[in-house]
Amino acid sequence: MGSARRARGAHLCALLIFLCGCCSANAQEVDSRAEMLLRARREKAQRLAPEKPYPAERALERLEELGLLDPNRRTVWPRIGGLPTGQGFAIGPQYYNPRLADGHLTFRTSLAGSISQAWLADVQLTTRRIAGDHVFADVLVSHSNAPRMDYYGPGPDSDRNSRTSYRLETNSASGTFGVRPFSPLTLGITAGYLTTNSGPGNRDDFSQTQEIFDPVRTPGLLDQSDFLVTGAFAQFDYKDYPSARNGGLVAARLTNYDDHTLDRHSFRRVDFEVQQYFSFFQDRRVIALRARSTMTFTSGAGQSVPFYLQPYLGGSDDLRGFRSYRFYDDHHIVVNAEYRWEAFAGLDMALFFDAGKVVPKRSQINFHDLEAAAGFGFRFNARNSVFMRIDVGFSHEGMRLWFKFANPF
Amino acid sequence: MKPMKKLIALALLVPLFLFGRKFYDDDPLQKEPPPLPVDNAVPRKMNDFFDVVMNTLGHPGERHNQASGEQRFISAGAVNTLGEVPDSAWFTNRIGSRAMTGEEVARGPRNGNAPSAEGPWVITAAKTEGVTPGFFIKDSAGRRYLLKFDPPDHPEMATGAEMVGTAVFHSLGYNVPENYLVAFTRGRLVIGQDTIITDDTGRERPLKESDVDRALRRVPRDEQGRYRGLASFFIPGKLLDEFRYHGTRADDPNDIVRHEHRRDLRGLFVFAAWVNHNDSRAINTKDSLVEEDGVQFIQHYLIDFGATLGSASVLSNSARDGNTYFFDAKQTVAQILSLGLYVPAWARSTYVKHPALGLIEYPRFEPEAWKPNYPNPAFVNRLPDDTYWAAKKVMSFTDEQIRAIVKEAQYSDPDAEKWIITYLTHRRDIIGQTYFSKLLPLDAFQVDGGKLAFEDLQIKYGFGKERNYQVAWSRFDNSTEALTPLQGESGFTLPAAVAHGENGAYFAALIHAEDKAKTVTVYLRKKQDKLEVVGIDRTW
Repeated sequence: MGSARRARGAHLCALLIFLCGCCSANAQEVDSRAEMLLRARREKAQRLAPEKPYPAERALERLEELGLLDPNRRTVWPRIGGLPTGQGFAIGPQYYNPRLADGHLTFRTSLAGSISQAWLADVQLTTRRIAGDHVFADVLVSHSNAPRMDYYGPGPDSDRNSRTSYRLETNSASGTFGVRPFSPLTLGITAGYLTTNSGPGNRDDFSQTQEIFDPVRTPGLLDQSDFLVTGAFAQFDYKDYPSARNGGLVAARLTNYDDHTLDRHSFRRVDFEVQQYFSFFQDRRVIALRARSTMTFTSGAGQSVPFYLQPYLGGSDDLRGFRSYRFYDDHHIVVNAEYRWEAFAGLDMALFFDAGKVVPKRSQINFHDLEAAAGFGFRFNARNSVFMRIDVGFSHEGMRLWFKFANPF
Repeated sequence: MKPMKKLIALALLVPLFLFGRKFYDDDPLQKEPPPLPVDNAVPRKMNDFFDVVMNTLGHPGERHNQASGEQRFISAGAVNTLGEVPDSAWFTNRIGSRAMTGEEVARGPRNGNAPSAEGPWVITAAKTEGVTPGFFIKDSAGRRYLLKFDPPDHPEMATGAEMVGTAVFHSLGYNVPENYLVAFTRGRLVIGQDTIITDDTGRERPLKESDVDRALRRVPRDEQGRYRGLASFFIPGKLLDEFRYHGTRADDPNDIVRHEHRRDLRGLFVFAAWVNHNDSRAINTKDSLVEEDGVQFIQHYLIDFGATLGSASVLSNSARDGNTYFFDAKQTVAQILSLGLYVPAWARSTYVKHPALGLIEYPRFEPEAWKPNYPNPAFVNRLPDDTYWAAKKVMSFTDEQIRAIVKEAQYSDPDAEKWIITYLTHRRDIIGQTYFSKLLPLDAFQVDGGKLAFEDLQIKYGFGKERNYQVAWSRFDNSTEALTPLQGESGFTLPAAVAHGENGAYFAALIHAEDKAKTVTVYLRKKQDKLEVVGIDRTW
């Protein structure tokens, strides 16, 4: 019995010592809300670390510091596209320097090629901020080699099964000078020299244009002319930028092609274009309308417009349910209507309807017997400016898918 | 019980007695304790585009979760036992906590630091970041400012919005810069020695007079030919960088509550909705290393209120601002599938357009439907008690105070001033109606004349009718949080056990009205022979 009591006593002492220990420890525990907060702060103070950005964030900052995300900075950029449709996906380097002449002159040069062996090289000088941007000038020298141009024959009744291929090689040097007397109005003149070389393309799956068509129906088929090109243009652009949800545009351009080598293909070309935009539901819905017409005039007997410089329809910017360059002739008219609606800030959707035709005579420019196409599209934009477009067009000749880097209008 | 077992039971109770309690003696805390010194904070550049993408496509921060179909909420931090936000490096209680005159509210943070009218303003740098042009200047007293302007088609719009926003957010309790409206002629600005500009081609070069002329060419002028600008006095201290709306700052020992759970940031949703501050995001905040009483610590600021009301700083608001995120998956799918035939309410709403105001939507306003440009983790985490706290502050602004604030914007067109006053008072009242109905809005509890007295904010502001309240009294065990009902005690007259309770005793009054899900539990403590309200819990 005595040993049992001693054991119990020992246990009680141990417990009392434990309790005293707890009390002692509690003297270091919090007894106020303020102390609780201070304790949490002191605990954090034991494990402080430098404040760091996320790795992806750091990489983005580095790209920005190098100027690789700002197209206005001097740098080497990839050039994407720029070749006539049908030549394949073109990519290449581009150098851009906006700092010449104390920032009043920009220099750009690029080289792009595609796996179908199409090439484009160009050098361009453009003025910046001259006379408060009321005056502008531009010089462009370029070489283009497009070995997969399509040609279906002349006129509105060309057969879709008559698809042929040709190569068009051009060298061009041109200068533009213009003024903007007040905001919507731009006036300008152009002058330049153009050498052309058309010949067999490099497609094996289609016949060569030179083999199927003759020079009578297809002027310039076997000729290689050099042209002195001069012109003038006027544009009244009252669209609200950059999104073009209201306002419109009226533009006219006269271009004179003087055949310097053969004196067979001198002609004038007149382009008219009208655009109008109507928005509703706080600019979230837009009806966009465009009408465009091109007429050519030959001067003197025996002159003709070479087929490769004739107005054409078909492709991503006019009749979107038809293949590129589907219709060629001396004149054309096309009208486009789009219903655009906003899906979210970076994407607009569109339903569109296109109608147009090419004609051999100016008197045939009217709204009868138009080829029609319809479809839908996705327009990806940043800061209200479209940077990528996917359009799907339908016509009686089938369906076409277009992947481009700007709005059609 | 044998002595051993009694002692063991006591030992087990010791930790509960010593460590677990709901209230401390210094509750409710009105001010956080002084900060610990911050020794090694360095700036950390934030990328704006990354912030947009991370918050739009990701879910940064800690969110309320849903496990097994049951929603579990994370209560707000940086809040005292009454549900109020203590003064801290983030927030200082002003309106709603004490009386403020119209003049004080309108003055905001301005403290006599307007740019000197004597001598030139020396341009020390050109502002190249952000979307609005501007200059960093130093006045003849050596004070430094950022000078910002209105867009050419909208004179007074951005500067006016900034003046209103600054006064509002300062009165609410946030740290904001001192902003001053200035009018000056071209001759006031001189280029400082060695002042450089990084132009839009990325080149650094000396700033020229033509650069200044070009920037000012697009700035509207008043009838006397003066330029109107907003001079933002430099935030004191060493500027660090922006704070994120999630997580904590790794180098700040005082930053112990995750930002997405801070009440002052969750409640900021309501304030942002009120003034349509759709640009409430990290890039419009600033941390600064300041010193007080010899201790360096980080103070947290909200900045840049040019994108509030109907202004988007460099242009007018679009109708989507405040109504939808840049990207909302459900809305996008609805738009695509409906071919645009589904038109959201905000696109069908009515708007007021004025050059000095931009685009303001009126009268439609649904606070819970309001959205910043992209998701803000703190906003997403808001709970009814967070928005209730904020709504109380908004409702504290009287009509007279709102008029005084708007007057500071110095709109030259009386119609513009009238519209903003109408806009703010209208939205203020809708906020009160909306958020006071989400829980039982009983407030201002006190023991008065042997009774528990309070205000019903819905009734106080005319949003609801008189109603019957049920109250159940309990004794509260601060250590175990156990409630022992005081049987037969109802009504707001203090029960005898409460009125004559011993010092250190706690009591609870559980109150509800017609909706039993919405309750308020008020905790009373007897201290120095007086009963004081020590805590408030709310359910909804």
